[in-house]
Amino acid sequence: MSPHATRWLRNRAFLGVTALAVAVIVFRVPSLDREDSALLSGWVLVVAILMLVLFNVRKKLPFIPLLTASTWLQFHAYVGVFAAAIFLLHTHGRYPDGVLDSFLWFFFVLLALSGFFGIWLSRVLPHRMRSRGEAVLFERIPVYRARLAAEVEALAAGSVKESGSSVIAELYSARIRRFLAGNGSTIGHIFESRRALNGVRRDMRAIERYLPPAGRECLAAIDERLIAKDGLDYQHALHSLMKGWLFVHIPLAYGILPLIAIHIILFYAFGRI
Amino acid sequence: MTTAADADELVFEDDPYDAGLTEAGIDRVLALPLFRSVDPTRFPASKPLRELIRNHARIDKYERGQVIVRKGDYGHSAFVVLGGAVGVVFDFPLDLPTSAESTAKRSWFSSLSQLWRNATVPEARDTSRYLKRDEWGLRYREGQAQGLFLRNIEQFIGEHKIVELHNGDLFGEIAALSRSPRTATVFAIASSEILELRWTGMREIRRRDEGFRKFMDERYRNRNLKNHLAESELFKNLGEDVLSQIAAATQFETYGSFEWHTSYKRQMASKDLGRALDEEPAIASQGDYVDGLIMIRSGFARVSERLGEGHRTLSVATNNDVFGLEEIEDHHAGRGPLTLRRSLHAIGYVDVLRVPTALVEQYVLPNRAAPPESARGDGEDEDERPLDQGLVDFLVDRRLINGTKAMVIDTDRCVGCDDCVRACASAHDNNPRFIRHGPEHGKLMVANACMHCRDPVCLIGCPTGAIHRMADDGRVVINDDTCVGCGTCANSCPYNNIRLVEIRDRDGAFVIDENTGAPVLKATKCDLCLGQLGGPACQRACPHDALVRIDIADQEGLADWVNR
Repeated sequence: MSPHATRWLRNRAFLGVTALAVAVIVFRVPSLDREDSALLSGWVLVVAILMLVLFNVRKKLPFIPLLTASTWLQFHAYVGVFAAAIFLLHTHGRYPDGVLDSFLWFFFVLLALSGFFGIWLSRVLPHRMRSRGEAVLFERIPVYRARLAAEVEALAAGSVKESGSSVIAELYSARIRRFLAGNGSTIGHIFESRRALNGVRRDMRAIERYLPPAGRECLAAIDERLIAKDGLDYQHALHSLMKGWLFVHIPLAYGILPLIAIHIILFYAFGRI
Repeated sequence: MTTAADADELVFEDDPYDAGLTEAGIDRVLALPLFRSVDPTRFPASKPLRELIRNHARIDKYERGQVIVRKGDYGHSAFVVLGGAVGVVFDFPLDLPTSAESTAKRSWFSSLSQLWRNATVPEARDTSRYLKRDEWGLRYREGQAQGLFLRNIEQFIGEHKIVELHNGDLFGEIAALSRSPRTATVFAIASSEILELRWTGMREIRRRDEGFRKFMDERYRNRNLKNHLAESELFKNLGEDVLSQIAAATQFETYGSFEWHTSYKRQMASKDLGRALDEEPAIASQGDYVDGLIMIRSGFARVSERLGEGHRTLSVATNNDVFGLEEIEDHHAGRGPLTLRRSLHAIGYVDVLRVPTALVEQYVLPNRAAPPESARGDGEDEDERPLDQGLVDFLVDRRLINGTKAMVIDTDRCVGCDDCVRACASAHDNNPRFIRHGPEHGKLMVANACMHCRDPVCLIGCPTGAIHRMADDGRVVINDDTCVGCGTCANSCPYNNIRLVEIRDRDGAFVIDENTGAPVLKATKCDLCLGQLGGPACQRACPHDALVRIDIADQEGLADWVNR
């Protein structure tokens, strides 16, 4: 069977099982009394959340043949959708009253939203990351950036001798050096803004008329490197976003577990209707 | 114009095999029966026979029990006994025994225990293992990390069937000529003097001198050719007599450079990949008369057709693929002229067999039930071709088609989470064995991970045979216990996929060579998670199905994955 067919079949199987499970719960819960329905939906939710956490456990055990991580991710995504549906049933779509339940509600909603956001990011960002230059390793970006900065500095310094003019060197001191320092605007890059790059290039175009042919060549070489630096900033921003969302999702996932445990204990201790 | 092969030879001329080879030594070589009849006038003034010997020969002394060639090694030279006696043994184990934990399939508990047993420092080794080499019947020469010795020679000779070779006897030439693993281990029975002739020199002499060529071809014909033909789909149903007749008429040809990684690295550095085909020797050209069916014996070749001023690559022909069969069939059926419709160029190094057309028409075509897998371009219709032209050019020009288990990453899916790198590290004592970066074309990246090449040039020249191809599944692995960290493999790997690391003991202290005072080096690379349950961890760890280990020459399989 081709990889495409295997993947198609696997995903449809997950979809079918999830839909069936949701349908069973949705039809079953309303027929129960209030306590039984809360118990059923609550325990199903607990099991679903534990299954979701198992994905991270699988990631820690790459040397054990426990299905592929991509199968686990699909499973994770569908169980996540299923858990969200059960959560709505369990809470009757309402915001809870107590402090603990409010925390739990917030944690779950944020967890679910960050999960859906992560899926969206994983579908959208890889393609965007390739749209500006060759893909680079996140850890190497500072090295490449430093190399570009050094090259531009050398070009600017050399331009004084080669073109007999200090125009480029002055612009470098006043404007370009600042652009080359740091990561640029992460938020700006995430939203596809090119304001910083366009600004510095505009200033470069403005001095072009004062330069001899050698100076213009130097300016073109600098321009090439500024575009490359902007591409690196862009990749850095998207990589940061891709890695950063996990710093929200995973702590929430581990944070919700003790809250669930307390919720269950309190329910059995005091909450029976 | 200087071709890649010529350029490699120029490099060799600056790099003689044995700088200490004297004039008297050369005279001694030329006086051997093997070379006595070689006609020096056949060689051009720029490359005389004597200079070929000077550049490509060396004379070594071997002590009793010292291993000269090891079964399974990837040889690049032939040997002649100059003095003493050597023993050939066929039943010596193919792979050197390695530590149990590196080759045996782990148990579930052992796999799980990596969670807490993996080292906390990089490149940690259990150095006590290196002291146990004697247990395998092998030891290193005192004070030197060169050469392997049989431990108990008397016992060894008693336990194995040994064929003795003496003065003037030639061995190792078939593996060198056919670029195949050595089929036997050869060791010195007594202190011996051995001439080693590098393949490049042997090929040059074979090319210039008819007598030498006939001698070499006859040996190959007698020992290997018939068996090789019988293994082919096309010839396997033919009788013994017919096979003998075909073998007798088949020509054995070699193209390209044995150590092609030299020219490859130069080509990569020049970045002028659009002209890659100009550097590749033509095996057969479009429009040529089809004098024989070409069968790839080893290596890989580019199948192309003319387009405008250049050549368009259609596919790659590898081991046992045939070229020209369609044309012969069509001519036999009266459907077309006996001229080639495509060209075949050697990428790197290629061995081919040329079976005369008349014999193919007489014996093969009448018995042919179904067309074999033919190197004919995988579909002539543009729409039917599985991969786009740009990708095919990228894979062939960069010789990535050498990879049987290349790591290909779909960058449209890869989110850079590095789960693959972490999984690799977890499966290798916390040391990643690849870099998630490499040449890219469109959305595909071929990462810097060992590709387990069909033509593994990294195996050439390893002094201890530490890097070897496993007999059962063809993966290329390094025996850490016998690697001496010389770096030959790392320098030879055209794709920079082998790395030398400074090793430490389990406490984190660097292991220091007592003789040099420098840290001990070991070559490391991807071993496809040898011994781990479930195969390569990198592929299984990718949550986005963005990574695959795949045979790049399998265009259909690659297309299936790319277009999934």
